[in-house]
Amino acid sequence: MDGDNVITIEGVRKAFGGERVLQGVDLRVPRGRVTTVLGKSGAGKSVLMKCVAGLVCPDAGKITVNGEVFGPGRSRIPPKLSYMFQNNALLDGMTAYENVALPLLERTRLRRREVRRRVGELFARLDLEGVDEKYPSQLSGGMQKRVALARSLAMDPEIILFDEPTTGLDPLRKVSVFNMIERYQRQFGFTAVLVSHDLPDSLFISDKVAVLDGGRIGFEGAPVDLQAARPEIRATFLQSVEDLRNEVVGLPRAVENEVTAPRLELRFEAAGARRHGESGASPNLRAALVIRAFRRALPHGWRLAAAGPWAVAAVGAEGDEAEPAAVAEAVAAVCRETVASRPVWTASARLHANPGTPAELTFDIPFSEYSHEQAED
Amino acid sequence: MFLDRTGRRCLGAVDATGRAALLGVQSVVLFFVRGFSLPRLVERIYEIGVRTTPLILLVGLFTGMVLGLQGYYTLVRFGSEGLLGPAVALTLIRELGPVLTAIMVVGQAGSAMAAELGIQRNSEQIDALEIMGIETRAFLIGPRLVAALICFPILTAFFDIIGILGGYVTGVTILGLQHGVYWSNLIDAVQWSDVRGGFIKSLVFGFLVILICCFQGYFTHLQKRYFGARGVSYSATQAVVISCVVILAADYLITSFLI
Ligand SMILES: Nc1ncnc2c1ncn2[C@@H]1O[C@H](COP(=O)(O)OP(=O)(O)O)[C@@H](O)[C@H]1O
Ligand SMILES: [Mg+2]
Repeated sequence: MDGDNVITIEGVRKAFGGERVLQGVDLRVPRGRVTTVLGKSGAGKSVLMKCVAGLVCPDAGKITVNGEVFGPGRSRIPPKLSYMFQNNALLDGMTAYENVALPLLERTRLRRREVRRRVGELFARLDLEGVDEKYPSQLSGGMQKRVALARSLAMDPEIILFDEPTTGLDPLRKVSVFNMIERYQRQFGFTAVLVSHDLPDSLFISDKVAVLDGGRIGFEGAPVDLQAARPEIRATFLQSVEDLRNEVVGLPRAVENEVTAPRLELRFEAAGARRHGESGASPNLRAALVIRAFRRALPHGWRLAAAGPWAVAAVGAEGDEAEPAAVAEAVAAVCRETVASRPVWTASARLHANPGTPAELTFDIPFSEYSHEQAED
Repeated sequence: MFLDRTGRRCLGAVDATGRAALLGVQSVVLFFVRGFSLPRLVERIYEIGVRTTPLILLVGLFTGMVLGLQGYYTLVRFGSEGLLGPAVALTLIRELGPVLTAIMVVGQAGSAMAAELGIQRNSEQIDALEIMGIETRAFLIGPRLVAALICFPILTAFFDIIGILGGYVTGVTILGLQHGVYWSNLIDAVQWSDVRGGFIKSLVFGFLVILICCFQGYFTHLQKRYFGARGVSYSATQAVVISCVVILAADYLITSFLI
């Protein structure tokens, strides 16, 4: 199994002056999967990413990328690795096109016409048509992110490190960035390492989660297992959820006492998810797709909120006269339809209308029994 | 205590000098070996040479005119105002041309360069280039240094020529010196070695000041005094101050060798 880890981090330490940021980090990143590193702000997540990328030189420890050892001493940038910086780090004196074409022009012997074709193809895939001649400062935040992603993808990397790809974006953009990462990860098959404190959204696309706490990895495993982690790790994790709540632009938390407004809650049943976590197929992608269907099916005026690591809630408009049962029925129908049209579901989900009230209704989303692997074959 | 601090500063300066020299040599070599690009060089020639030309011409003209004025009133006391041409030309070609050109380019292009590189460093653009596998010294600094070597002698020549014309305007047109006297004495007095000296100075100054500006910007993250936007502005200011001091110090050294 160890051969399938594309990045292995062993005992990595890094201090800045007297400040010991990383104190022996061990982490394995499985090939072709999405791994998310969680941690409080200032925990050293970016430093860890930069150690892997060869931008920061660790004081001690060993980092193996694709079987090649990048130890302490002179740092080097591993080949076939891309890094999407938190602030995009697009070259601001160049147009979007030039930014993405730059690595191709500088690092390959491709002809200009071929470069133009490839960049055009990437732009088409990332819905970036018409921005070629614009400078980064003339683009919206989400577009800049997509240009940065295009630049990361340009060289066909095997590994992409995403440092907080969604921080500072509004909720809709966040969702679209996560969708984008998930979609292209599946499409291109690269290994993704994600630093994020956007919970639960980031977990829906993750195959593996690691919690960085006190300079060490305190938890490493499948997202569903987080609930069973050590109390202090769970606390870190919940702290991140708190951070999410405190973030002005984040998803609003479901407001518990909003009794007058109808409310729907989509819960992923951990047991079902875990069962398939064991069988090797990740439930997260499916969860993400169901959530998207859920979002789309909501009537106008409803807003989406986080309700915990494995649940999203939607709260109706204040004083909404719509019959909650009818809305729930309609939403459940759309979710079921999505599930039926993509028979790759293995996790189970349950839709609750007006949870916790006497008027509670439950709808099961009957996930197909096909496993991920079977559907791919 | 005082000695300790002074010693530390001196060591810091020696260390920085060494690193800057290394950066300069590596950048130029890597530019030719790993990342030569004519468009990038042309872009830097435009930045360092073309965009600064109007300023150089303006400053050169006024410098020449002032030299003409001062020179005339000094020389006339000794009855040797006929030597105005050589006085203006030699002062410009040997000293003021290279020195003032370098200072003007630092003011116009060098500080901007330090700020640009500093911002690129702080916003991780330089790291992003590294991740793409692009040799940043060859990409960012090499072309600027080569452009400096190309542009400084030419700019200095512009400065000298327009300065000599400025001296002519004051001496001949305004103060009534004879046209032929100004030119013939000038042509007789200026030696080829004077021109060569000025040329060497312009090459050295150009390389040094652009290197200092690039060094300050490229390594802005290593200075410990200020961070962020303050850090970048500090680096840009330092680039200008250090450049000016280095120009004058190097001028003294080169002159003492050449004489
Ligand atoms: N280049 C640096 N120099 C000094 N300290 C640094 C540097 N980079 C990061 N740090 C310190 O390391 C700690 C972790 O930073 P970082 O990895 O950016 O946190 P985060 O987990 O939020 O990404 C911070 O306390 C920061 O002060
Ligand atoms: Mg960070």
